[in-house]
Amino acid sequence: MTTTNRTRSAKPEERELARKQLEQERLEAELAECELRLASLRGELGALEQRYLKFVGLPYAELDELRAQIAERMAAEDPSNERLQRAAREARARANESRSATAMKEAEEPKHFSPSPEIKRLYREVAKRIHPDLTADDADRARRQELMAEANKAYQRGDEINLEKILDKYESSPEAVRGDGAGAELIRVIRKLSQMKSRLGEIETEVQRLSNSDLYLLKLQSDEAEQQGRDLLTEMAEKVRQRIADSKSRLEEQTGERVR
Amino acid sequence: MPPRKRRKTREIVRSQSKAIAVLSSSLVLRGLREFPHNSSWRVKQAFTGSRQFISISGRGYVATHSAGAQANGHGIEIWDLELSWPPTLVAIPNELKTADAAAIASLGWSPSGKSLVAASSAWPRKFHLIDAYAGEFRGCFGKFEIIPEFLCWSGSGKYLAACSNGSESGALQLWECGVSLKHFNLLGEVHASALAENSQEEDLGDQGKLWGFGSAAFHPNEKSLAAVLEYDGEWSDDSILLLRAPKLETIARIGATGHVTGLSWSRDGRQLFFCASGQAYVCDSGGGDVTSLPFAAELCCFHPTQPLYAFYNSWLKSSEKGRIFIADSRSMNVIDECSAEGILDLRWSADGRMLYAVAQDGSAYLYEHTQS
Repeated sequence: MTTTNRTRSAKPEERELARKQLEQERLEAELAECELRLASLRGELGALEQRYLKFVGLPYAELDELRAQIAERMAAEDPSNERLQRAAREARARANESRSATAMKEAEEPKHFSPSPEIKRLYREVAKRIHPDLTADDADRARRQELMAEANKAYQRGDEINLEKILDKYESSPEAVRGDGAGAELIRVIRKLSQMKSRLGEIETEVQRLSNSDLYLLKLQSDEAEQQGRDLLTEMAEKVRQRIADSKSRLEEQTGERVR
Repeated sequence: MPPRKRRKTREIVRSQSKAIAVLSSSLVLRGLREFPHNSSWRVKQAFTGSRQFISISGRGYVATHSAGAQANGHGIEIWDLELSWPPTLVAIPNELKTADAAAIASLGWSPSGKSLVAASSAWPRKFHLIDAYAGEFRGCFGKFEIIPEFLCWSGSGKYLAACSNGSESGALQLWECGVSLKHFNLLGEVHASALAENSQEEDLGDQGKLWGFGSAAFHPNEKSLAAVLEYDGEWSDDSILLLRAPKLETIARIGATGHVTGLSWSRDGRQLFFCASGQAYVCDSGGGDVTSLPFAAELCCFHPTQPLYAFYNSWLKSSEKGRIFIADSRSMNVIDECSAEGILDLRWSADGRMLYAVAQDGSAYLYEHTQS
């Protein structure tokens, strides 16, 4: 008696599932990389914004306050001059705006954003495992969103320990368990693929938006200056301080008193 | 069946990005505009309309003589180049009834930028003193026959020179200056005809006639001044006289090629730079050899503390546009430049940190000089 080893050929939905799972794997890696890129860009711009407000924004606020005082003094000396009155109002509005833009930054200590290779690896891992677009289940999605937001904050703080905790927390949760069945799984994978593609589009749009911002232009100029051994923000701050000195002496000329 | 809830994909991990550049956007944009990283120049509009008579102070104020259309008639407007606010308007009393839009004027800032002396064909023929800090007309002193074309103070504010031209009776007046009107004393006056070399006048033939004094510049030690003796005529050559202060005795005479349009001493007083017929020259303080510099220029101004000079040239061979440029007086290299047209005055700030230039149409060019 001969025995024949019959190999069961894969069903069409299983073959399709295998193909889609391969695509999912590729997209997961790409999405993780893109999320990392976006989070890094936000981190860099956030840190630059903080430094700018601290070193240039605060002196600007001081300068605007002095200029507002000068304008108000000039306006007070000539109340019938509408142009001076308008200039004084505008100068005061600008001083208030600069003060409120920098008020939050006064107490903060600016930091440089320079993520280590280890934290980048961890972030990629988190993005691959718990990205909200990797699930079709609404409850799971909500949980992943929450964890991903935490992960983003931890990454921007450079907090490796917390990133690991977030990963562990999700891995040990019941939502991490996956169901069986080729047909159901195929549908889940197709939905995940669609979500991931949509998210990739969003990331691209967001990166584009950030790349078109003034802050990004400042970053490019700052990087260029750094390559030349210069610190652009320090140079800008120095120039604003010189203007403050000029404005103080103008105010002194008007008041005849020393301005501290 | 209830409608399906729409997934809020856009809410995913967005919290940080909204904060970026919202709070700071106006301040960041301002920093980028005001401090271009690859340029030390800023260009702004000091005033609108056109002004023929402009003078810049070492503090960055610009005085202009209004042409009569404004509410204050032929008054003085003082603009702040740094703050760009509405000007301080100073009305001058006793404006002449014959004054019209073609009135001519000259303006001269004291070194501190506190006082401004002005003369105009729209006013009585006296020097008018203005307190720029208070924005008030303080009164008049002296008198003159021809409206001075040029007014300049010495470095410490001790002297004021007034140059007038238009005929042989064009004169140079030297004034001792003080804090108030009663402290302005006429120390000397010399007419162009008294200082013109007879031989030169004869040699001139049909090349031109004596026209008076153009501009002047005090030596840093205030013991002498250079004054341009002008000759009318397209092909005539001006002279630069080195005169002893306060007696106005001639020390030396420097022959120029063409009409002199700019004059400035080096910070140490060893060299005198001048521009004649669009070419820059230098000569030593004794009025010796004149050397042509490798620059075409019409206005010049030496830096108060460093070996740098600023020039303006209204045209370039490669372009119709002019330029303001900064050159190192030792290497003769141009270290920075900016396209500009119609510049009427050029001045370094008293501390040498800024160069101010203002054009007839109100365009102001501010160059921020850093030690490096």
